[in-house]
Amino acid sequence: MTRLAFLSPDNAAPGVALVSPLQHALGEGVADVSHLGKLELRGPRDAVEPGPGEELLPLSPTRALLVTDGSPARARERLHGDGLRVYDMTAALAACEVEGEDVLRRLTELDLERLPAIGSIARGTPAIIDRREGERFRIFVPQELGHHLVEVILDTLRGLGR
Amino acid sequence: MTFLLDCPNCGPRDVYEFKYQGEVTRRPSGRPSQREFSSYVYFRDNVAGAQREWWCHRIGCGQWFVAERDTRTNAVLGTEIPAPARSSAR
Amino acid sequence: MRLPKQPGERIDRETAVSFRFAGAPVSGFVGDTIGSALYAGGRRVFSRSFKYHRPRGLLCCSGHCPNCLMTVDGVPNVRVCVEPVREGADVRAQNVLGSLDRDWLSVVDRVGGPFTPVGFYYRTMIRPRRAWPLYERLLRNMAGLGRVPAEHEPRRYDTEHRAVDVLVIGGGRAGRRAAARAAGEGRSVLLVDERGGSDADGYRVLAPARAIGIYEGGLVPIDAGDLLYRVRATRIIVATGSLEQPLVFPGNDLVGVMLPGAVRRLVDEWAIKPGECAVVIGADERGLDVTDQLERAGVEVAAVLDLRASDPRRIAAVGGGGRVRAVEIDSTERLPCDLVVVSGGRQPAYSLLAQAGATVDYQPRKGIFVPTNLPPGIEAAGSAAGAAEESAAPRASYDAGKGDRCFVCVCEDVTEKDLERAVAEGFDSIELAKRYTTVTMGPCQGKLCHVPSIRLLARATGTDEDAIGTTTARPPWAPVELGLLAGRHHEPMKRSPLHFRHEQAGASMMWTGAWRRPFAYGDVEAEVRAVHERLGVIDVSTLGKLVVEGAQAGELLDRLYPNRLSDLAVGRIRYGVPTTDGGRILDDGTVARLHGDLFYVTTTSTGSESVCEWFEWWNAVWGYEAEIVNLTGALAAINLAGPQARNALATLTDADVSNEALKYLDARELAVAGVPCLALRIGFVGELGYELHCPASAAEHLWDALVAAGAAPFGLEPQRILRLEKAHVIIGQDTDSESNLLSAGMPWILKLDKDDFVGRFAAELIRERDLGERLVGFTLPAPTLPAEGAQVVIDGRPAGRVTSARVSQRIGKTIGLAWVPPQLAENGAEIAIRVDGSLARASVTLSPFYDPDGERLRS
Repeated sequence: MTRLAFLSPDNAAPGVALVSPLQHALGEGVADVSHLGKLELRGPRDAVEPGPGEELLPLSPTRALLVTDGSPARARERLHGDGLRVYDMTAALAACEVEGEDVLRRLTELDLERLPAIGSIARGTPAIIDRREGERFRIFVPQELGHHLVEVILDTLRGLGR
Repeated sequence: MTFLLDCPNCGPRDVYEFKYQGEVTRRPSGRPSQREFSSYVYFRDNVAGAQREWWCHRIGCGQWFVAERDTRTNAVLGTEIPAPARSSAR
Repeated sequence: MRLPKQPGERIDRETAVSFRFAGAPVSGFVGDTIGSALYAGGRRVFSRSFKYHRPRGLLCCSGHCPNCLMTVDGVPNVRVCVEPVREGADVRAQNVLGSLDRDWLSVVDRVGGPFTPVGFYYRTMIRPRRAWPLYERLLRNMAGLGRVPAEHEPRRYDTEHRAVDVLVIGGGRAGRRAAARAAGEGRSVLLVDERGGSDADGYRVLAPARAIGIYEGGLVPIDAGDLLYRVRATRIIVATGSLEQPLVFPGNDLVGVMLPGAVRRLVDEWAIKPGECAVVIGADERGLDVTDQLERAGVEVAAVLDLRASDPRRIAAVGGGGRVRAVEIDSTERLPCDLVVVSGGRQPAYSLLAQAGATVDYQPRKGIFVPTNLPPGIEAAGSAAGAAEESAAPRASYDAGKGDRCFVCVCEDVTEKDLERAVAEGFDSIELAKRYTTVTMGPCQGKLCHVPSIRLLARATGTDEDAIGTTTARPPWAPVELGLLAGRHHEPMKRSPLHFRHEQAGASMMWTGAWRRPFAYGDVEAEVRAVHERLGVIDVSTLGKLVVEGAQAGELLDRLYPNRLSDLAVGRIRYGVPTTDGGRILDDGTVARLHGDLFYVTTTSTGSESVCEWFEWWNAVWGYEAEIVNLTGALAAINLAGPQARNALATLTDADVSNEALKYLDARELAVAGVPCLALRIGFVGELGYELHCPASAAEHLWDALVAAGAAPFGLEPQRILRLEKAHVIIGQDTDSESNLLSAGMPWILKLDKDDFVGRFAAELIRERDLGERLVGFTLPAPTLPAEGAQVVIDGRPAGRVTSARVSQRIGKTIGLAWVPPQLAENGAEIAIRVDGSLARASVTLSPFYDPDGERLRS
């Protein structure tokens, strides 16, 4: 078994129902994508080539977040080694998507032209923000603050009349 | 405080994204006298001027770095990731 | 009655708007302000002054002075001269007893004068001291600026971030020019103006909106009513213009005395005749050419006094019933008039520049303060920079030394005499005089009275304006609603992955730092009994969890902890207590070695971030080959505890969980109910127990399986009782920032035969010296229960304190932990604890109250 196997929800038996941290938080205008596989890479992340269904979000010269549609445990097996350490953060991070630069401008001071970036959202919640197509944004936050973030986003949408 | 601090990785960000860890000090090595030890634990230079200090980009990339900041104006003169000293000097 | 259509007027004569003032209907047009509509309808008295309740009329019509403050739809302190009309608005006067035209409190002005000189409340009304609350209430009701309504529908305020290359503050000619130039250079430009304006070629306009101040980092918050823009700009161009200054002369606060800008607006924008007959007094061209508007409006101009050409010693406005009736200039005859248009020049609005760090210099020829030494990134344009036209410097006052009452500060009712008295009493510097007299501290914040007060102080002290200087300029530039600064309120609540299971089970939730945790699910004692007798389960997901992984992970941990950890066997756990270099306890938790180069560290719930940062910082300094990863949120943790724990666990896993295979302080990875877990066999609550760490998204499944296997959920309060029965210390509850390992009763943790570690110097020093207080357990006969913090008393003096206390049904007594002097830190010693005013006798015990040898833990 790979090390820290107890970190990966992937390693749960088939009958185990996995639950999203946003299960009770959602509302119109916010999409839950917490199911996505997420791996934190530490070390020489420049050498990493994202595979099919994978995206690499650089966070610093020695850190990156690899987001995958597929199995994060398998991606980890592939990547771990050669000085690169890989930690399965699939359950650690809640993720959601929202449409509109105007919403983001009310949530964060981060420069929306220079994404992906890691910084503060909603007055102090650490977040990784990535731009999808056009004005669609994907936001990753620690799962324990996911519900709080969605509440703030929904309130912000209300303030914009949406 | 609303000044911008330059994270070596992420660039200028609002200071509230960071945690302040204080003046860069020299940790005594070997067996310090009580006076040396007390100075190190309790006293700081606290200059009115350019000060070297530790910061961490807490709500961000997590990088620990040293900034030089003018304590009178909060003008940030520079930031760097110092090479770690493999000794007890700080 | 309006004038014929004026070029550039703002009113739309086709669209009428009506509102109510003091219960009676008032009509106006779209484009009017509430103030202009009231004036057009004949109202001349708009407010009663702060202290003396003198009638006041429109003075500036620019939103600077306090004279038109009214309460609109329940919102107090609205400057109606710039507040657009609203259909159906309910407008009322404030700070009056009666009506604006008949305010009973104006008796203060007639009678109270001698009793209310500057600073009177420091001399009269101070005895008897007991009566001060009564005086205070009286004064509060007699002087004020409107009331906040008791019931008010809370408004919604939002905040938005913007970033631009260039921010131009002020949309006048100079501002617009600067914005266009910057846009032409390809920069992103934003212009903000208090009044109005629309986007132009190449730049966006925010209007009506007001820049509140200039803060560090090029941050300019902009008040746009119910939206606060936090704008960051690389270059800030301040084009805020200049402010017409009033003159100080007897009668200068009478209704009918106006600044030229007010007349210009009344005529040009709202087509209103400002009066019948006017006297114009000005110190510059702009102040004097208001005669154009007066002529256009058909107002008779009785006299024009150009202060550049003549220098009278006395100007006096003579009133009747609070309104101007005539003006006297030196000893000439009275000039009957109902309007006096005065200007003492235009003072650059430098406040934002000063906030940004600019200094100011006095220019005696023009009588103005001009900003200089602008810091990098800050520019001034237009008259704000001091590029004003030629102007006469007015006298400090025009009462020819006769001592007639002239007002310096109409906001706070501060007179010339008040300032002179302040200087005579020794408050002769501007900062002292300001605080003593409250001049410039009212709604206008010195826009109309700062420079005049400086002139008066210069004269009273026999110095000059340069020597007096200015007071520190601070934000906000104009009043801002607190709600706007607060924005939306969202408590950042951290929820455990099992949060909804607790809510569904009816737990009462409490805060632990930013986390929400269950206090208990119902009957606290039943939950305690369940753990002692059968099986309980508690959510401890909030614990900090760190992985320290790398070739030098063990060495790093040896230097961070007083314990030795590098010799921990794989699969074993130790209790670790990191300390500061001052030897003080920082936190506590467990350290498990999962592999040769991989350690799994737990911390307290509130310490997870700070311990992780502490470790990372030291490693940034030392550079050991070790990665520190915070997995606090990645993993849930559930503590399964009670005599049935092993049996229940065995039904849910194929792994061998016998006492031999998984003994006390072992760490094993295994699957429970199909969920991959790390099991730590530790014993915070004193019974056989397993702390199961699993991926957060599988927590509900695991919890449900454990509950189905017979585990009763228990919350923080039963956990507190259980741990107290074992005398287990809670860092931060039983220890504080001064506690060290030896005084807290944990000497075995210190391994001084190691090399250097954080806290080593201090540990050696502490060992050599007298320990001072010690943390001990105590018992008392139930049901006496000391509060947390209750004093331990020796000979009537405080000698220690209780940190935790509970009644334990199991032990049959009250048990607790307390700090006591070392001579009492012995089994059986008697200590006195103050409980409800009397002293209770307690008995010290140094071992756990329940299962002192830990047999149940190790079974």
